[in-house]
Amino acid sequence: MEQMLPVVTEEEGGGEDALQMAFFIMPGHALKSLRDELEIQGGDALANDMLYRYGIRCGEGMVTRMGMKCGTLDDIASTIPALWAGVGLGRITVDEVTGDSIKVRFHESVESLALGKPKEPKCHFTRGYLNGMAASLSGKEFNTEEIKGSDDWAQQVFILKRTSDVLTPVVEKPIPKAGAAPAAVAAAAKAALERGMSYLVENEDPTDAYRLFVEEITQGSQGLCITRDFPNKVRKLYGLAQTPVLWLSNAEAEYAVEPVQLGKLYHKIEDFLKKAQSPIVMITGLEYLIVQNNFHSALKFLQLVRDQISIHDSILIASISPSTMGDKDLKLIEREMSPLQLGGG
Amino acid sequence: MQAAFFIMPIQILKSLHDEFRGLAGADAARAILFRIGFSSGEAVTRKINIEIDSGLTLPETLTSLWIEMGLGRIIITETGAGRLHVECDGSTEALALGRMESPSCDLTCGYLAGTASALSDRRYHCVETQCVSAGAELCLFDLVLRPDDE
Repeated sequence: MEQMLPVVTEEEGGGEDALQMAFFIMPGHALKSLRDELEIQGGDALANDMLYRYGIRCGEGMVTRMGMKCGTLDDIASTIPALWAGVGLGRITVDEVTGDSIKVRFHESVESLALGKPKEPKCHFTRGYLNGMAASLSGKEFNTEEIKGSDDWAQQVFILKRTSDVLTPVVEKPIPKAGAAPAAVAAAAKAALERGMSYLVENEDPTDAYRLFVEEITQGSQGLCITRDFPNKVRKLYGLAQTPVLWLSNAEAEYAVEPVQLGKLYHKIEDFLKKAQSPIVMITGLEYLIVQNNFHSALKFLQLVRDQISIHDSILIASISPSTMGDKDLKLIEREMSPLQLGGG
Repeated sequence: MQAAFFIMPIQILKSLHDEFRGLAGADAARAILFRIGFSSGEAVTRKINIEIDSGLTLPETLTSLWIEMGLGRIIITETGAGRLHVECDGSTEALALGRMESPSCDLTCGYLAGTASALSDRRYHCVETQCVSAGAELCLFDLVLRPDDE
């Protein structure tokens, strides 16, 4: 072997701690296999996005394993090359650190070599790996871009830029604009909602579901709202000043997630749940996700989210318009969640 | 290629399983993960440039090589006609996946087959017959020569 690689040892061999700490090795060549398989299944854009997200997970995992934290961009810039040396994806140097970004140069990118030295930004796994490291080291959100590092693309440069914290969990201060919740909603909030549970609100109008969500977060839960409605409108209507609101839309916005990217959405929820205290997640308009994908993909997504909700002792409120669904499909969703009657609809 | 190996945390295996299932369905996802594992096992073995020599058998070489992979600990016994029985304690893939309904260490299966194939210069297939994620104490695999290489 060319380098010492951390793998699972006898002492680490079981349980959640081992899961956090364990790594396995892959040849650089595997990035090409993975990319090819993803492209065949979902096309170029989806392969790019998934490799980026896998990279993020790996970068986060690496930092978790090392148990490191950095307070400033300079700290991150000096830490990443040392950490990177153990990753095996190539040799890097830091070109410069500016007010909100770090410029990292690759001299021998394993991903670029595996992909046949493409003359365009294609190292999405590497990009994600760096992004995950920076975000995990700082506890802040980053966006990472790949640009040409030399005329012949023999070198790649990655710009790691601090972004606004779209998904940072917060305790929302009650805002009078939200108004008092109807008695049925308030009663449901007090009596029915248990941590670890996923609730389905069947109603043509999601207002009561929103109110239930607001009721919970004004009592100290940290919320994440995922909605088809425009986030500014939701913030105004329900008095959500700081609570992260993700918009299900194809629009180019930091707070937007394409509805067909269920994997991306799932990982954003998972990220939020890992960071939040007493988390609660709301998804309005499940029917929109079903229409944009297909029923089985959307159901699988709900099952995975429900599992994460249980693991993180969180609460999920999902609203659906029952008139848009066939009985059989609705029953399948009801089997995954606990139907909640709020008196409206 | 200089640094030809990179490391991945094993949690990524759950994401890979989930996303490929969502994209391609359960059966196709298993085949995809097997293929990725197979090509990875082959590539790692060739890169390390390890060969079976007169001193070590295929099971011994595979066992010592497997320690480096980070995919669990294995004990291999030969069961005749080129068949190898593999017991895997602490399969990292099963650990990452958690509870499943059936044997699910598809990447590991491919990795074993690819590694055995590259080591022996013959074509191996691998089937997982029991799995920790499906409630068993150990993961068990059968490595068999493909019919066209028997």
